[in-house]
Amino acid sequence: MSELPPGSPPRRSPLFRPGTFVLGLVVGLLLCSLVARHVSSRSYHEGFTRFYLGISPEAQYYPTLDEMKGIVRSGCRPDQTLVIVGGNSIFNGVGQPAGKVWTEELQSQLGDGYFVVNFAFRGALCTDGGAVVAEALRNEFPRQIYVANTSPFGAIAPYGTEPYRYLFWEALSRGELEAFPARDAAVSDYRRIFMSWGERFNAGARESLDRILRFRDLWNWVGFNYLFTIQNPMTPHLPEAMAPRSQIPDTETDFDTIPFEERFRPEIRDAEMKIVRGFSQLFYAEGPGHAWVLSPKKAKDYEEDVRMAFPDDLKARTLIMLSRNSPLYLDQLSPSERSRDNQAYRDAIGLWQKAGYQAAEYGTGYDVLDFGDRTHLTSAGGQKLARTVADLVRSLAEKRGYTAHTSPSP
Amino acid sequence: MKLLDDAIAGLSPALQKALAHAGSLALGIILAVLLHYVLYRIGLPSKPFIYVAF
Repeated sequence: MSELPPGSPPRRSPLFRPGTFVLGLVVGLLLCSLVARHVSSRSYHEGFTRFYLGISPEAQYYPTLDEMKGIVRSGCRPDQTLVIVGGNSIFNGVGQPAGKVWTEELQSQLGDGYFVVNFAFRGALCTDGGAVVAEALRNEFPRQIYVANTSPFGAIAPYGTEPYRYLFWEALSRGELEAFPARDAAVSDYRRIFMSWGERFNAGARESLDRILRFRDLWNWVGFNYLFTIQNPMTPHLPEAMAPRSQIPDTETDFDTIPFEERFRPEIRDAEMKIVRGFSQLFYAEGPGHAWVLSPKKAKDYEEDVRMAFPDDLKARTLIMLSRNSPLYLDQLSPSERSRDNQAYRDAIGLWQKAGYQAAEYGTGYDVLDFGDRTHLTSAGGQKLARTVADLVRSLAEKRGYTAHTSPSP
Repeated sequence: MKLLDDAIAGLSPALQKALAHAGSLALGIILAVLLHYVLYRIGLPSKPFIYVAF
């Protein structure tokens, strides 16, 4: 083969056809997207109980909206009432090993007429995780109850919190959330105040691309079933680091195996008491007759937060449980502080109920041994919680007409 | 590459064309899968979330 004379067009390789190559790129991306949609339409989490450490953002595993919807679709029959559990580590069942998780007891208490799924995450708000999935499934599973926990006057953001906010953006960008002007305005304010134009562009581009290409869905499925490729602190060493996440077991610690003195170490008691007092200390002032009065500003702000947390038509099927602290700490409060703490729970429940939600508290009357630490429950505490929630869920299902085989409103 | 080009030049034009299309299509699909994976990876936070109970 001789050199080409100067000025002549470059010689084309007989092996490469640019048009066909571009077609291959498009076909490849399309195939990936189709496979992702197919695999995440049904659950690949066999015997799903909860998102434990090995399959959670702590391990660089971010469950997708479709993956979570697939879990519900595979488990919940049309004749069952769907009960989605959201909230934080308490409702996730931290300190309760697999087989003794409170939501398993809740399922057993409620029986075959209900399907309970635990989508609570560590450090999540009541508007995170399960809340997004519940809203996205409102029409597909209209016989539905959403249960989540929070603390009185704790943070509520209608768009959730990090690192779980991605689920909200995912649902929002796919048009899976209801139009709800109050929340839409809060989201718009959040974007304007807390995100630079560059961050808004990146987030928008990422969500738009994922909406079409579904890369999170596909590679989560690969990582869960075949090969996990993300370095993470939960499985730092090879070969476990690359093992499919389905092979990483739920190794949640059992509070019952940790000695009481270790769970309630004296050196952390002062810090824990500060947190317990903080539940009410900042927002209350003593009024006439030693009655504790909630600051009008806090009441107004919280009322607004509660109003924006869920769309109006979904409020009535939402059960908010306010988590009490361990009596080990509550018993150390002075009578006046105790009275203020009780008032905070009454007021917070009242504000949730006034906005149209179902709300109650749990933990009053629980034993010291029902708590694994200040706030998380042991398996025994979890059983008590399950009984309380089961009664409330049954009553709410009846009130909503879910038990009669009519066409319920979401 | 030159050796391969020369070898292919010895094949019939129809076979040459078919091979070129098949190879280009396969290359496109492989790069698409890689691109798909890269999009997934760059969307992940560089540091994992660390949960602290309080």
